[in-house]
Amino acid sequence: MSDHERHHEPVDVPEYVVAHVHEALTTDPRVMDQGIEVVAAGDTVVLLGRVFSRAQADAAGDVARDHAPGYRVRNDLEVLDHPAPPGPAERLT
Amino acid sequence: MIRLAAVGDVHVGDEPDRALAADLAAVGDCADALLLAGDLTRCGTRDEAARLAAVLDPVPVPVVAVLGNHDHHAEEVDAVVDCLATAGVTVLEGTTATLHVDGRTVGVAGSKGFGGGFAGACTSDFGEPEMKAFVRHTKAIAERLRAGLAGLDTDHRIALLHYSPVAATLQGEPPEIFPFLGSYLLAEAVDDAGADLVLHGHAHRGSERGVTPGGVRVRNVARPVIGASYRLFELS
Repeated sequence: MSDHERHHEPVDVPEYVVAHVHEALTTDPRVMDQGIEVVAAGDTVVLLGRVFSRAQADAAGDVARDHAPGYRVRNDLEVLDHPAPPGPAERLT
Repeated sequence: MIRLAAVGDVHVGDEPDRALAADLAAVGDCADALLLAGDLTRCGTRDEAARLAAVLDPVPVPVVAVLGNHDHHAEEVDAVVDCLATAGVTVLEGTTATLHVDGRTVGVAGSKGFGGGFAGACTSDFGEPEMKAFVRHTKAIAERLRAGLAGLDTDHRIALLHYSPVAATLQGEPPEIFPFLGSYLLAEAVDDAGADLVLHGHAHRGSERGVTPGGVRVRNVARPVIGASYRLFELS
């Protein structure tokens, strides 16, 4: 084993943090949403997209904080709790 | 005129979704049937299915559904299907249903679908057993979809899926994950058998409108995409 290998320290790589947060948002039962976009911006992890309730959005923030130690979390998720009207029917002729 | 309401990805979880429940309870005012394009629950548990059934039970029109990947996660699919059946929901998987409206008929061929990607950037039936199993799952589903549509002797035919048959309705999603969001094999099945419309969900960041290479309309009705509790379609 070389000195380099023996003294290797884990490197803080934002890409891996984003991947771990995204994986956690997909698999944590409180969130379980594959559609949340996770972006690392400097020392901040930003959550983007639409979720279905305020509770789910808040849980997503908690999950992100758990899996991004050392990062701030900005929760910009939009909550779909006031759906728009369906709009006019599309006529299929 | 036959009026259909459609939505996917309602993702009923632990919390009550009162807005969705209120909108669906009143859907009979503007639609003759409701079609659900999968991911009806968050984790696919029987408890979530019971909450979903409570939302769907008051819906005053026939409800036809397919399941999505979320509905499979807890591996309680039979319980989910049974629970939905108690609310009068017909769940399709490689099967069909026929709706009768004012003397006319609409056939619905339904399946979850699966991934694999699109022409030029797709998986192949080659290599490790896991990869072959992935592709063969999609092929088997596509073949049942083709047979289901071809067997429908109805005035109109609709393919109801969760995964997408085309890339157009995935625009907005990262292209790297397209192979996990749909497969051209589904579109090929639809184009071979013919249909008036394909409905799907799954791609929350996708786009609403697309078309198969054979010219069949494709609509992504995932709730985060449409921003409403359902979309409406009229067949004449």
